[in-house]
Amino acid sequence: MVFFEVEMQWNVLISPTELDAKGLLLQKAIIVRLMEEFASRKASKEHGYYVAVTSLNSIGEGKVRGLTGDVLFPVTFSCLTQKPAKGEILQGSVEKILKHGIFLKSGPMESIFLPEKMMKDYHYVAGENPVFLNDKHSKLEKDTIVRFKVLGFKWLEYDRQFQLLATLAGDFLGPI
Amino acid sequence: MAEKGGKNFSSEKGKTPSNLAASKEGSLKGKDSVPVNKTRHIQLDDSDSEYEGFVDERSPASSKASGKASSDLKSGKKKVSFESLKTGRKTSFETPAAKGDWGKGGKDFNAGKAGGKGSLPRATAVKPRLTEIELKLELELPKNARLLMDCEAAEILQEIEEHKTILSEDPKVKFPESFNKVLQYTKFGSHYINSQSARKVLETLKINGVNDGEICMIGNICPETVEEVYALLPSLKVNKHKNEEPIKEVLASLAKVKTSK
Repeated sequence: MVFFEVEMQWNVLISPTELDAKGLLLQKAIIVRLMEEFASRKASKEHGYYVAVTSLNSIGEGKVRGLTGDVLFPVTFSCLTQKPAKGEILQGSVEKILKHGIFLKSGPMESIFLPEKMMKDYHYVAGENPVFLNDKHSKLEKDTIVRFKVLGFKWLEYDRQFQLLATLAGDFLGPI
Repeated sequence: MAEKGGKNFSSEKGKTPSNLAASKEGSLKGKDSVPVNKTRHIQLDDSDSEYEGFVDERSPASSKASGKASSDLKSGKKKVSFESLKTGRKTSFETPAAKGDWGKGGKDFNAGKAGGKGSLPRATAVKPRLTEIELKLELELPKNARLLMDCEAAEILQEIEEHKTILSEDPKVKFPESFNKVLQYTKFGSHYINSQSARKVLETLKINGVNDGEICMIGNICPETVEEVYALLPSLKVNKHKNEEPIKEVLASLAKVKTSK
């Protein structure tokens, strides 16, 4: 996955109870609310997984919401995000082994699927702890670190996460 | 040879299915043992959610590959071009939901929905597609975004981690759940003593036509030889004559700033 440092502008809603405080506390309240919002949104299709807020650039003028008394502050900040890219090379660890392929995880991504067909000469070996073996006795089992190429990815709106399709077809790919 | 059901339509590129089916058959025969070098044709079945580059396999029942195919993918699949499905026909269609049905992603997207298993008319167009190993890096930068290498991100996250212990004393402060996972990921992958030196070395490649995404990849993968670079980033092969020497030099300089692991 590639990392982006993105500048974004979000609106942060502050309830009237937090407004009573002096200026500094207000700023803290805004930052806390921003981080809460950032953490709850988890990821976006455009930017990828939200990793961390890196800096607060500006806080605009607050607008009072008539009915509730909340104040809306437009906040500009920079943050670090991570997004998968098609065709990129990644490293991940084997999470689960099935007959049709392997599930890998890498960084924030927990659903990376490596189909059996993309695994060149590896074949499934059933058993209590199933593994994938190839002719050169190289083994793919749980927690093996694997270098793979991203064939494609999907954004799952409902879960707010990405799903990746991996391949080992190519030189210098495979277990490390 | 027509595909099963004979429900082929020619694509916008003027290729008729029969021509392509013939060429596909030709390429399939006698090459079963070397899957990677083959151009594969995959039929796209569309699924409900949006995605880039995902291709669903057609069921093997519809394939007519002669001889043994060493993988289901190679047999009787065609590619649907994005344009032909773009008309937004949305017939209801269930893809076999199992993940094993994902085919290889190509450069074309499919947005419309087609019927499954030959039961509904399907617009199929066959295009020769890139083999998996030739799959190039596709990176679009979102607006207001800057691309960072893993090592640079690692340094930023390390700094935040140090502040985090102080911040965590306040129970209201929340960190995204990806934070810890990404921190581990970057720590594991960090190869260089510091990111500025790595960045400086890699920037020199820009003059040789290597784009930002490729520079980032080289920095992240930390390859040992030039062959590795070309194998993993096939898009650089295009300018091989121009960038081979600079890449060799860069790899040598990077080796100097690597941490010993």
